[in-house]
Amino acid sequence: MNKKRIHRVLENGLHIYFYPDQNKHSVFIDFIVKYGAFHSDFLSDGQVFHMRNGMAHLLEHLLYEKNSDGHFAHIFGEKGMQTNATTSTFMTDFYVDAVEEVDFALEHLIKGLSNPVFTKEDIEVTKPPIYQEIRMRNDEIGRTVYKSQTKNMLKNYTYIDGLGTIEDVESFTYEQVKLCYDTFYQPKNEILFIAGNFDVDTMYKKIQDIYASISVKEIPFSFIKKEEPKEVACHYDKVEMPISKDFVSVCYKVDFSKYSSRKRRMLSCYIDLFLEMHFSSISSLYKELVEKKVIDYAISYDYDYFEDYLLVKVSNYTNEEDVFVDRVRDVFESERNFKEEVFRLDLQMMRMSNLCSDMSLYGLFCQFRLNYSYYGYDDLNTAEDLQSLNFEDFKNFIDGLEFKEYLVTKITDVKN
Amino acid sequence: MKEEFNSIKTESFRKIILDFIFPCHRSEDYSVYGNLLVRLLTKKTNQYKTEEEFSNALIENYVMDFSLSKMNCGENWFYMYRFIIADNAILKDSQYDYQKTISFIMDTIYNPYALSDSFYLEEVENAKNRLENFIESGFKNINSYASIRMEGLIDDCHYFSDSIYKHKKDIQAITGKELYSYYKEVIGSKRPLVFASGNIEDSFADLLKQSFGESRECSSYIPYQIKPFLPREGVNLIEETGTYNQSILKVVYKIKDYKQEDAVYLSLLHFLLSSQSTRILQEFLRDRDKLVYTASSSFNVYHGFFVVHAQIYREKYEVAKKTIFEIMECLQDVSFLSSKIESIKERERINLERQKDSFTSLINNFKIVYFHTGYPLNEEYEILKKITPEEFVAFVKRLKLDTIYYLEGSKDE
Repeated sequence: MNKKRIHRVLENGLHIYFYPDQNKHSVFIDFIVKYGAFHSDFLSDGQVFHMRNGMAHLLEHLLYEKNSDGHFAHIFGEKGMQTNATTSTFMTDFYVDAVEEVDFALEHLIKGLSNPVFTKEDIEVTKPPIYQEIRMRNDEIGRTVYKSQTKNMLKNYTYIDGLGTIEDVESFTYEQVKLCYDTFYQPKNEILFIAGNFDVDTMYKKIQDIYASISVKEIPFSFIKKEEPKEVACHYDKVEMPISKDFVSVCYKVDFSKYSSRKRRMLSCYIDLFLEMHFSSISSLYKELVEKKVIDYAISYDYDYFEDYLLVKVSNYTNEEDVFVDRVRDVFESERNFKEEVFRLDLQMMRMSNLCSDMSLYGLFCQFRLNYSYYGYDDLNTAEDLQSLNFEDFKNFIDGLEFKEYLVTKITDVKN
Repeated sequence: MKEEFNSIKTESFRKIILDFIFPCHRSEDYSVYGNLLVRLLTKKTNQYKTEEEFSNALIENYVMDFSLSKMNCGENWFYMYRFIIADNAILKDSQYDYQKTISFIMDTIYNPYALSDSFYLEEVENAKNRLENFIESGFKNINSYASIRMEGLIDDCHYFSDSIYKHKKDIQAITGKELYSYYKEVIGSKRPLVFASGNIEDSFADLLKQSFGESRECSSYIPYQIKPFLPREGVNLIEETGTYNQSILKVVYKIKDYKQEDAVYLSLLHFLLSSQSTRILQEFLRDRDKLVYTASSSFNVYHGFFVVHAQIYREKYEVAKKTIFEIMECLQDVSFLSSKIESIKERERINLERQKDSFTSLINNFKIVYFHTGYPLNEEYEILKKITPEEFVAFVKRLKLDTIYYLEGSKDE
């Protein structure tokens, strides 16, 4: 895959990122709005607003299904195009992947999302499928753990997850939805990501022409950043749901405020390496816990960013909650075991994966979205990025992180 | 006997897929053995005795991904080792030696971590625990539980009797020695069918042939032939409750006089109901009636049945059921179908182009032809193109409602 980026900015403030590749057979177009599930508190036109969880997601459903051109699934699906929309923590995006009639796809995607006319009734009929989506997600273990962690780790944010509760979604009024649309869906807060088989100049001219026919509104806005303490709101949470064996997750809240978002992109490689070294199936902890029959499966690990904090999570099925939690805490808080050989091999794998990637156009977009939303970096990763990483720097960085504030979440089977 | 070494040369991708398939006959008695093997054979070898050593060896041998799976193909199980390795034409690494990588693959397959006649006790115990937890998780998760129940309800001829969910009680009795003996019989003493896709030079293909074409016995498999489920008299209606937030409805249709050529009609039916081009299920159940977040369909070409799945709120059960019946009625109306069938034909034409960017579609298509399990995409499109609405309606009329399974969630929110 060609990863060479061409970046243009329209007069209205819209940023466009082109990744042309003549070897591909389709064109992937993603319309990104820098407004996501986490953005509950904001200033719009000088006034302060707070929204309950789920607003960005409701707006995503509404615009996908009831935009000014109709229902995207109908418009694009009828022409054999692939399409969908997602709401992530910091962004909402709408995509279409077209083999033919790319101009049609581009025009309808942009025009459909610009100046839509939706009614109170449109909003109300959009809600019931979301209620069902919420019920469906509530039956998922991963989603249940995630909600426990955001609820109990963040003290001053009301964010729990992108869907919200049924009560949250029921409460949204036409006026609130309209306010959020007008505030966030404006070109200076939007991005177009286009990858695949196309000519950049022709495509750019087409985009200019489309926007020339769209009236641009400008509403000043900013997100409100809250002071968030280092402490977690709660240290232990137990949730009941149907499960075969107790599932235990240890989550640390780590202050990351001293690192710029761009620096965080490279540091995230170090966090990956640290977790791999200490918790994967090559780690001594995994071996020890299997031998002691505390766990049977590979340990899962992951991390998320919320403003100035990094949430690092380590989880597994276990009937020995205390031993699992104690040993995971030992590793985070004192028992580091840095191995240079593992570091070297993991870097080799990262380089190989980058050079020999056969990522789909959608996969490429996901990497771009991750880089942009978490690290403010508007490009894809390259093998050259890895050259600056070294073992000493890695050890110093990890040793400099404070793993102190944590939450234990236990998912246990429903009592009869 | 067909060619055992199949290399598909393409320069469109940056990786190489190597699939090593060991076929053996499906057997209820060995269901647990197979499921334990795939949990045992991917972590260590006698050369790399710890998971750390093995994991490092994967990277040192330029293996980017490795898996072992067990899948059904007609009356066979296929044990498939898949190695995805870097293409050195892209990587340009002077240390990279394909011969060394193939030796590592041979070692992974033929030299598992074991004693001379038995797997190690602790390894087997760990695999047993993981398998038991896998089965129990299947029974606790609403989606897998509903699928397991549905399979049991429609399987009048016990074709799914080798499902692992029916054999939890057999797990503990199996010894490391018995398991090793089974491994030797189905993998260790056999040479596999090899499928390689990517930038495969002749020299690389020769290396594969030399390495695997030695004295081991040739694998054999039972040629694929459909085993249709027979439609029952009347309808089997099963309603249950569970402690879930959502409820699941599954409506199963069997096909009268099912034959292998019907597979394309099943695809067409599935695309009509579930693809984005026509999305009939979503249009009726979600857009019109506001009953679901998602509804989908699936089908089984081996046994010839079709399922409509809807995840619904419990108060909507009766109306969702009625809407599904209404949809199936509409599928017998030529005027309703004509333009929709044309949309699907157009979609499939476009998808043929899109598939060219898929890393795995080439090898998957090749296997479909090799094992005669269906039609490759281009052939399927050629058949689909000729289907008229009248012919499709005649097929729909052969669908017989067989089973309605409803699992009601009892929690609120």
